[in-house]
Amino acid sequence: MDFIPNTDEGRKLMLRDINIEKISDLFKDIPDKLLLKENLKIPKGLSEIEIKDLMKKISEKKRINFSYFLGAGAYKHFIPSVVNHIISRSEFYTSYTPYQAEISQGLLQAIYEYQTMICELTGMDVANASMYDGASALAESCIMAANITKRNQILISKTIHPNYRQVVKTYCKAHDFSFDEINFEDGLTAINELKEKISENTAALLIQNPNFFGCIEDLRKIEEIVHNNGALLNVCVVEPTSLGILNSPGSFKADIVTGEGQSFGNPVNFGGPYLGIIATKQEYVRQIPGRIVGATVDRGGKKGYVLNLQTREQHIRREKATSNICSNEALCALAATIHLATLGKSGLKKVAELCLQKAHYLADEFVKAGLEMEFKSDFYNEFVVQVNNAKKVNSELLNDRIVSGLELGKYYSELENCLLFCVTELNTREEIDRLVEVVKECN
Amino acid sequence: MQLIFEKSVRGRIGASLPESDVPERRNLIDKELVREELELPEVSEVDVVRHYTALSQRNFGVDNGFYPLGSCTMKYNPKIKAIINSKVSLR
Repeated sequence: MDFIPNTDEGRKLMLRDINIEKISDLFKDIPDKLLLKENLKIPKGLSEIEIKDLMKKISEKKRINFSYFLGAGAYKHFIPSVVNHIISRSEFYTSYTPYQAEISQGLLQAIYEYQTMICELTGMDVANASMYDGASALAESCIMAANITKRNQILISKTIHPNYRQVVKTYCKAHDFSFDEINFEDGLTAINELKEKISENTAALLIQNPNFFGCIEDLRKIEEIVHNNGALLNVCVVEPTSLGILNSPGSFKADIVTGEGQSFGNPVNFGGPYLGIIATKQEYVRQIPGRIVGATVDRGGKKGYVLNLQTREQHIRREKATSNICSNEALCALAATIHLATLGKSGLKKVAELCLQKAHYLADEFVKAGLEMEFKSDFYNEFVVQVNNAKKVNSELLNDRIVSGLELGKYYSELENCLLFCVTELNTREEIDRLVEVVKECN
Repeated sequence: MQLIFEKSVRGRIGASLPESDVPERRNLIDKELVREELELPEVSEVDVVRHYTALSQRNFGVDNGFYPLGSCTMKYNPKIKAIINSKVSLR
C-alpha cells in the first residue's frame, strides 16, 4: 500500500485551499541550484504480494534451529505468549508519547506499573519511564552523579561490559569528566586498586553486577569504600533476571541503579530495540533524566496518571535540562511489565534459579571434560572458561549449529582464548551435553 | 482502574515453567547476597490479558485516529510491515 493515500483531486483541493498553484511552489524559498531536479534513484515501491514473496525468499536464507550459549549483554529468555499478544494491540503499538494525558491513561498506567516493578527489583525509591538502553542509562548516571556531588572523576570497573564503557565515554564526551578504570582480580573489581584510585574528586564508581564475566561482586565491601569517600555507588544490572535471586542493589546502598531490561519480555533482535532502566533515591529525583509517570487525581477526585518532571530540552532551557538525548521506550517497557506481571514473584525466582543451576551444570561438565575455569568467584548464569584455541572451538561449534560463548581476547588482551558462556532457562540438559561433547572433541 | 498489584492473589502465577533437568546444587551464592522478598504481582494469565486489554482501551493510537503531536509522531504504517517485522523466521 502507499504511505501517502492522497489522490490528484485531493492534492488540487489542498493547493487551492492554501492559495498556491503547484506543489513546487511550496519549495520556492529553497535556492534553485539546491533543488533536486530528478527523482531519487530508488526503485518503485512493491505491492503487498511482491513484498511477501521477497521476504519469504529472504527468510529462507536464514539458518534456523541453533542452540545458543551467547549472552554478554543480550539474553535469550522465555517470553510468555501473552506478552506479544498484548503489545500487538494497536492502541499500544501505534500510540505516541503520552504527552496528552486525557487520551493516554492506558499507557500511562502501564508505565506507572513498570516504574513500580523496577523500584521493587532495584530496591530504589523512584524509576523513570525508561531510557534507550542499558549503556546510555549508565552514561546518564555519570552525569547525575557529577551534578549531585559537584565532582568530575568517574571510576569505572573493567568488569563492566566493554561496549558499555565505550558508550559512557562517548556519551559524556562534552562533559569535563576524567575517567579512571579499575582492574579486576579473579573476575571481580580489584578492591585495593579502588582504594588507591578513589579520591575527594570522585563523583561515582560504576560497577556491574553480576559483572561482565558473570561474577557476583561483593557490593558490601565496595559500598563502604565508595561512601567513605563521599562518592556515589552506581550499580548497573545488565542481566536483570539475576534480581530474581540476588539482593537488590538498593539493599547494598546503591545510589543510582541502571540496567538493561531486554531480558524481560523483549526478544534478541538484530541489535534492538532495548530497554534502558534507571532508578535512584527519592532525594535525587530531580536529577533523574527523562520523565516519570506520576499518579494524581482529577477535579472530580478520580485517580489519573500524568508525565512529571520532564526536564528535557522540549520543556525547559537546554542547559538546564537533565538530559537532551534520552527518550523512553514505552513499548519495550510495556513488554517488560507484562512479562514481569505474568511471571510474578515466584516465576521470576524460578527463572533465576533455572539459569543459575543450568549454568553451573555446564561449568561442572566443562571442568569434568578437563577445561579450566578462568575465575573461581561465584557466578550467576555466565562464566569464563579457557580453551586452547577460542576461534577454532567457536567455528567448530557453529558448524554444529551451536552459537558459542563470546571470545574475550578481542576485549581483554589478558583473556586470549577465553570464552564467556551464558546459560538460560531455555537451554536443555541435552543441548548442554551436546555442547560439551563438541568442545571436548575439538579443543 | 485498579493497578495490577491490587489484583494480586497470593499463589497465582501467569506462566508455567519447567522443572530443572540438571542435578541440583546448593549454596551456590553467599546467603547474605540472596534475596528474600520480591513483591511482584501474583496474577493468572487471564488476569494479565484482561487488565492490559482494558488499559489498551483507555489509550489512543494512530489506528484510532489522527494523532497530531510532535515531529517524531508515529505515522501510520502498512500492516504488512508489522507482520513481516514480527515474523520469528526473520528474527
